[in-house]
Amino acid sequence: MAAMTAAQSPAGQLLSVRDLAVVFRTRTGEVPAVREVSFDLARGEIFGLVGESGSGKSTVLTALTRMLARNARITSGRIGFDGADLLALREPAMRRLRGDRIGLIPQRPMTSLSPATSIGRQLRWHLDGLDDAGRLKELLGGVGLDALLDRLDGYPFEFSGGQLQRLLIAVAALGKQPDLLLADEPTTTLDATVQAQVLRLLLELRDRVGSAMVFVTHDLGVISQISDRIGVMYAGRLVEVAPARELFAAPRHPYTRALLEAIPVRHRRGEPLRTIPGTVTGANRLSGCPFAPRCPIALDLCREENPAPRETGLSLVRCHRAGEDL
Amino acid sequence: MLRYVGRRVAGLALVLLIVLTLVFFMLRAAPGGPVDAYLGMNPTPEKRAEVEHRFGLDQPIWVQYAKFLGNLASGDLGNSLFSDRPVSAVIGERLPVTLELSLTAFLFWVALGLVAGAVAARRRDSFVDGCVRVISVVALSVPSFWLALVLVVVFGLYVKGVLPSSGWTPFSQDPWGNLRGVVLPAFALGLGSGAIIARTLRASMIETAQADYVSFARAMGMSERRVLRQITLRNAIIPTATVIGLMLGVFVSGTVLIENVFNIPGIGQTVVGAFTRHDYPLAIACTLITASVFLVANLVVDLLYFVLNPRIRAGFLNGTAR
Repeated sequence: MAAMTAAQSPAGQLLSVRDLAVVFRTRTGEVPAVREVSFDLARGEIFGLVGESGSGKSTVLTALTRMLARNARITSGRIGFDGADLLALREPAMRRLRGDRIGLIPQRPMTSLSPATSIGRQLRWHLDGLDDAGRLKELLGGVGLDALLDRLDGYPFEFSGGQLQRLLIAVAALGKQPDLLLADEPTTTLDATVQAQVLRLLLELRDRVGSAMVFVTHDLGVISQISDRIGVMYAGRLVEVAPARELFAAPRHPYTRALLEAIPVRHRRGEPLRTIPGTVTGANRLSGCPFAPRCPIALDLCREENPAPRETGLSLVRCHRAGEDL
Repeated sequence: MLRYVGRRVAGLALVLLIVLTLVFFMLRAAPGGPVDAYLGMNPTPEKRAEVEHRFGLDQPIWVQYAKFLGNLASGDLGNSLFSDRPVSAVIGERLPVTLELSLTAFLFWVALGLVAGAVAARRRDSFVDGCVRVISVVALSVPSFWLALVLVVVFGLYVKGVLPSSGWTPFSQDPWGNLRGVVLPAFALGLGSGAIIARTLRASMIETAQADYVSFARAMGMSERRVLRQITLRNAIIPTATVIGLMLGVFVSGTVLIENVFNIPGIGQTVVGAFTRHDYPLAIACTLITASVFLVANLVVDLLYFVLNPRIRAGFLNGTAR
């Protein structure tokens, strides 16, 4: 992992994840969900984490808040956050970080507020000083929800997904102003137009509040709009990390390349949609490169040994053939 | 809101009328009759005719029904055919006994059920949770008549003098004795319901604990205590309130069996006697009172549900609910 660290100087980094591994206990034994994941995040930076369902991207995010499901366990690694190791903290100390310093924007805004309590009261649960009308106005105005000022006695089901997501952003980002904001596919359940508005809002807030962000999604279009740097996950491993522009201009890992080729807009009309042959099933348990079974350029070495990260151009790639001229 | 309650009360009156009409005709359709029960074996035809006339049973059934409705409208439930006392006096005597028993059992078991369910859910998979789960399954499988008989036998024959296992002491006579007397019948009456309430709350709390809104509140740094109180319990209580409402019927109808086993002079005991002796007025009055208690209690639970669940409330205010 030395190469990973060497890529950016760890000093001044807000978040530095090293060799993170998470396993899930299932009926068929332990399944590694995340293996050897390392990345850094500077203050104010937006790091996009992209991958298909089950690639472990959301698990990484949940591990950062230490709120993993009961059957999941962090088996190794270090999560450095502003000088502290989150994995060594006791639960009460961790709880004090949540919300105030590490915020979360959830995936499903419609179900992320308690259905039995008015939204006004729930705002007050999480934020102090809201009895001051000016503060409330500033908060709601900041996310474009001025219209909600006189509807605060309403319940979550009376609002749209877009309104609720803005409200959650108002609480988690604008209200708490955390150093680190974790966004778990915050736009997947929203309409395309609302999606764009929410993304714009998040970018605007980053500039105003200065929070760094880890943004998880499976949508390459979304991630290209918002991220400074992008990490691509496959079967629990981070296979490529690169600046956003670099990743789209010069994808290095065969999986990243296959992923970009599968974007429909890059195709001519009438041409069949391209897919990646094979399936991801079982790849989590492979000892070699997890993508080897589906990789068009795999060598025998790929099936035996998982590649270490290599610096290739501006990217950091876990591929034995990275840097080769193919 | 007031209009809603008014409509519900009107509906309630209609249900009562239907129930009473059904019981009225079913009583008369049943084999045997009050005359046989009143006169015993082989009465002379003259004697029979005289008693039939006295009870008003010599008239056509539609006339009897019309009279019954007329009396009902004026609040007159008639006299018991056997004791000749006004039925309302008998009810007035016996209803408080049943209400005390039902209410004590209800409050005790709802409270215990809720506490057990909440503790089990909070300490999921712990020893306490295991106890709650095992005990509640056993409690659910025990038929209440069997439990009542066992309690009577155990406390009547083997563990004498701890708790009275039969009979009833009025509260006015001996408050302490009265309360001690309620313990065993109330225990037997609500055990199963308490178990269901505990299991329901436990299950819905565990389900709620996995909800997105609980994760979000935790991610915002809310303490476990506050999450439990302000979110998990608050939401899990909604399905539990529905179940508690359904259990009300058990606490009302269960008294028939319990009062007979423990020899308690309440409505439940009266109703059995009234039906077996074909004491029409008394049987009808007991039906009326039992049905009323049940319906009113149900209405209260519905209104409570209205308070608990903002969705129902909003739907109602928008006019999308009845």
